[in-house]
Amino acid sequence: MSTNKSKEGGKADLQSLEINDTIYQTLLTDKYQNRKPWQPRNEKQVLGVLPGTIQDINVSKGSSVKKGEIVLTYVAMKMVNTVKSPVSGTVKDIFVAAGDKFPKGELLLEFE
Amino acid sequence: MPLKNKILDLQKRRELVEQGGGEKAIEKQIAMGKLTARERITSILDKGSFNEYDLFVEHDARDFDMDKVTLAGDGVVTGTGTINGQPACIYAQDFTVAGGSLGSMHARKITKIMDHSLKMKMPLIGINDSGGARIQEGVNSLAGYGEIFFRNTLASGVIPQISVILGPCAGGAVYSPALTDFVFVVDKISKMFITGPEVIKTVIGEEISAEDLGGAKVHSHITGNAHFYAESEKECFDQINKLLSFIPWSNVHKAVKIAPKPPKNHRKIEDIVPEDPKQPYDVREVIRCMVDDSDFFEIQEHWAANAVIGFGRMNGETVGFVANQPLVLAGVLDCDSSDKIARFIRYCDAFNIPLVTLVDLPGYLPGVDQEHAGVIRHGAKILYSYSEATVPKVTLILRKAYGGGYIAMGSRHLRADFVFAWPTAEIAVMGSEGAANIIFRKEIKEAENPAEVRKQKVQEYRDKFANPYVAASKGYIDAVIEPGETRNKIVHALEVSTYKDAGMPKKKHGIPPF
Repeated sequence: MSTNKSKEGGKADLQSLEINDTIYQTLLTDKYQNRKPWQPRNEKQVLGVLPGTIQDINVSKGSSVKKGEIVLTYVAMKMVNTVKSPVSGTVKDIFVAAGDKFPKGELLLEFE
Repeated sequence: MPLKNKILDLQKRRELVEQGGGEKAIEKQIAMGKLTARERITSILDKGSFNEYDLFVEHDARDFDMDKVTLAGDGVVTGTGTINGQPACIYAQDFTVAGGSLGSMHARKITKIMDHSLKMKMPLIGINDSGGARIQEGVNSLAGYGEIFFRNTLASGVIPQISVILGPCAGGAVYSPALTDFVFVVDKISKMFITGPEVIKTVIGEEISAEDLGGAKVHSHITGNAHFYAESEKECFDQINKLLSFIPWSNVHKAVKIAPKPPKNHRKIEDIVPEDPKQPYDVREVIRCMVDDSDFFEIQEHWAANAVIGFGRMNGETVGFVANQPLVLAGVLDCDSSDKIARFIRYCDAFNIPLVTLVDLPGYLPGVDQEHAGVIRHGAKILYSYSEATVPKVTLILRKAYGGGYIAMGSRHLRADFVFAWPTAEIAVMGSEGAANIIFRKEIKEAENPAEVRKQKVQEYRDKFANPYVAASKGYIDAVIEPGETRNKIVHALEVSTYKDAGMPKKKHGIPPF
């Protein structure tokens, strides 16, 4: 929201922006400055894709799981959703318990 | 009953309904810093011009003891009036009556006035101040919303539709404003969201205030859902009036022509734009040097500020301006600015407003976030809108017009009618640095002094290609003009385009990259 304020500002607010090997002097928007750097997805981590509540956890720490097996269920958006194992492997850690609420993007479970 | 008494009876009935939700509710409304529904209507319309209809409409709900409840005007005030002497339809939800909640009769009042505005070809102004669906009326309330959305869509591109958010507008209710042409919001008063803070808290556990979730600043600065932001209702009404002074009353009317005035900005246009294409400037200053009375009315000023859109007049006639803004993000195109530009072009095209495009951009914003956000399909919206627009299109290239940005910004190839360039224009496949680095990669790499050779090659490329004359030699631009000639050249181009008749192939409709 400071975009507009700084738009009226002087030269001091100008910053560099490189496009096609050329560096331009310009104001940067909040949206641009606050963008999150991209990170590759870690296949061994199970993240919550919706905000929800854990219903059941079918595995425990150290369990050996096959790819596609249901590891946990959660309730979100008035639906019971299942999470299948993205890999075949051993469960390294579980970060939630039945009844826990979690936000979108939360790390629920990790494989070794 | 003698006539005199009947008239007295009518007056009493009117007075009763005009009190809305009663004194207490009105006090509450005022305490929230808000005007009442009728005050809002009379503030927007010409003095004394408001004619109200459906004053005595009552709801017909029977469940949940609703049969024992009367709601004045069913929570909405509707009617016609004039603005600057021209007719308009208007409705205002009355928050003092059952929280302005929408039941079936409330919706029917709104759709009736919408039907009038579409039939009689006049603007529709909707003032939203409502808690949402009237839950007691169940699916009838949903039906009401659906009927409104349907009419918003039918009327789109036929009559101007203006939404003024002066209170809560939540859940399904937000989709009527979203379907209309221009949305006005007021600081601390407007609230728009699909799911409110309470629901978000229960479901996700995230705590946020209504203001931070969907307040006026959010929608004018972050989401782009709103087009005009004001600090007070009064300022908002002035903005509505000003907007209506520029736009035609329908797609069969022309915008009112007023007496031409010269720009009052006496700064020389060439003094505003630095010669060095890497240095920024405020493109709105350039526009103010071009338009009558230096009066430029910007739309979505606070959102995607790397592009500028808005109305001005040239020789008394309304013109829609589209410009890159080198002052913000170097004037790049990105997802948001593409959206902003494309929709505005379609607005101008629908209402027969000629387009003037000012070009000065380095290209598209690089980044994973942009690519993953779909800058391909968003960027394509600009190509689609310019190509599809059959209104007069005049383009001026001030400095940089590189690569895809050159094509997108109203180029000859998308059927601009007149393309002008200043002598400072650089119309090329890309900037000199980038191009030289690619074309002379081997020579630079193998040189004894790569930095020196690079500099030399960049200069070579710049001398040969970073100018308007290569494009002019192919007829891609029509004339290289002096900055001082800008206004006269563009006014002339618009004048000769008055009777432009450009067809599109017959089709039901295209499939734009929404």
